[in-house]
Amino acid sequence: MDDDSQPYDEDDLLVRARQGDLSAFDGLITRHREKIYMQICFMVHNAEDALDLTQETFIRAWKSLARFDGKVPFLAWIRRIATNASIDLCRRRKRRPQTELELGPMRIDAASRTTPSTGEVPGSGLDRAEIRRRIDAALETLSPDHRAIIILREIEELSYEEIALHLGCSQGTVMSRLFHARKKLQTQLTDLHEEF
Amino acid sequence: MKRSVLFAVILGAFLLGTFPARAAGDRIWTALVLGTNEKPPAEVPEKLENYAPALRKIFGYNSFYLLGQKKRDLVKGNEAWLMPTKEFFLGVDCLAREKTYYKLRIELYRRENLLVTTEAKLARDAPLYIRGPLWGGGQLIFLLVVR
Amino acid sequence: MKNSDDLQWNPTRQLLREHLVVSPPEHPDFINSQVLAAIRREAALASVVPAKPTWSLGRLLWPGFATLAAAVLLSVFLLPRDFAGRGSGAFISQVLTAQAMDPKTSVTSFQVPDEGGVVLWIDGADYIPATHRVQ
Repeated sequence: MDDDSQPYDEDDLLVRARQGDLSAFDGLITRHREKIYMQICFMVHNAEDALDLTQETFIRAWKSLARFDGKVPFLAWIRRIATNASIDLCRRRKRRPQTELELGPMRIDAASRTTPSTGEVPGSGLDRAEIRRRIDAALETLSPDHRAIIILREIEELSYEEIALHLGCSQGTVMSRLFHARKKLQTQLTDLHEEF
Repeated sequence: MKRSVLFAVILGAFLLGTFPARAAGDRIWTALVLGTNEKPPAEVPEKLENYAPALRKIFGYNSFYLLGQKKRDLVKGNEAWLMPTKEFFLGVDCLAREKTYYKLRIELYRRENLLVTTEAKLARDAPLYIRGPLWGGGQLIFLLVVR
Repeated sequence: MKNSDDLQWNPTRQLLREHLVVSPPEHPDFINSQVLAAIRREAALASVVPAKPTWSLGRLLWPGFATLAAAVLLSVFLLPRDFAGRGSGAFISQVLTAQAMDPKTSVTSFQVPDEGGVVLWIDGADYIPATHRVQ
């Protein structure tokens, strides 16, 4: 979806960026920074880490721009760099207890797909913060690769082909990982949706 | 000059050494077949000709259609994904390679749902037939053959 | 057509979509400024320190030959040879273990006597209507 405030065609920005034009690359960052940041946020559950990784993603992208052959959309290519960076961080990180929401207090984001209500869900005995904590904890039990696939499929709503492109694996791998990740999450979260 | 000759000898030996091993590489072929009963029976697709007698005998259908097929190299320790169609696909993990067979772990998926998992010894040209779900008026059959 | 596994997953999917919400970055331009600053820093460093070639072609030549020789030895002595040639039908396939994931489904196996093949017979799998694409 084109942004009216950015008149340049992405292909044009890419061509210029590959020739070393930093202002063109700046345009590319502006186009994709939010999507990349939010994807990384879902993976790493920490806003500061997500910010650092977003920057690292674009720096890596700049360094590898000469190798980008245009066979996949630029966003898919960048998402792959972001996913790899997130998976690397998740693997390096030691598990620590999830005692607080690291993404800060719940905010209703006007751009979000749904507009959840704040506070308690009537009749459930669980507030949204607790539900969110349970979901984050369940996601933490998945391997980074499985977590990436759940986020890309269930939240970002990418197709299997797109996910395979992002992760640099086959579609079969995507589907089998999705199966196992869903089974694991279902087991841990069944009681939550039975509350409703 | 002497160095060039030495280089040529080494390169030649390398190529000779690898060629027989490359020629012996096996592949696994999978096909998704639809079995039905029709009057008159439909012509058997060329790629299923070798398997039609067994298919008729095992499943009792007189007509077969090839809905999709895929082949991959079989390499010990490697996982191969065979997607004869977008709806159904197989994950084949080569666990061992013996003199007369491959030991494989095979997973049959329908989209992201795992239907069946099996460990099997597959000899070359001795197929594994998997009776799948009924589709419309026919039967889905998966064929796996090491060639 | 949704199968039973999809129907089971839907509530969990709804839960994830409803609760996994992330706000966009508060100061998005900060990302741009940090990235561009880092790129400029690295470019400045690269221009100050000239790259020194540590290996010339001559120096690489003999290690290259040695690697090739090692590859020859490995391929001649370690790579497997032909997969014991024999006629088709001389050996049989077998199912060792089989498991269906859906409790409604069962799976059995039996040999095909004439050609050495084997059958895995799945019972109870969901029926797929003709209107549903399987290709």
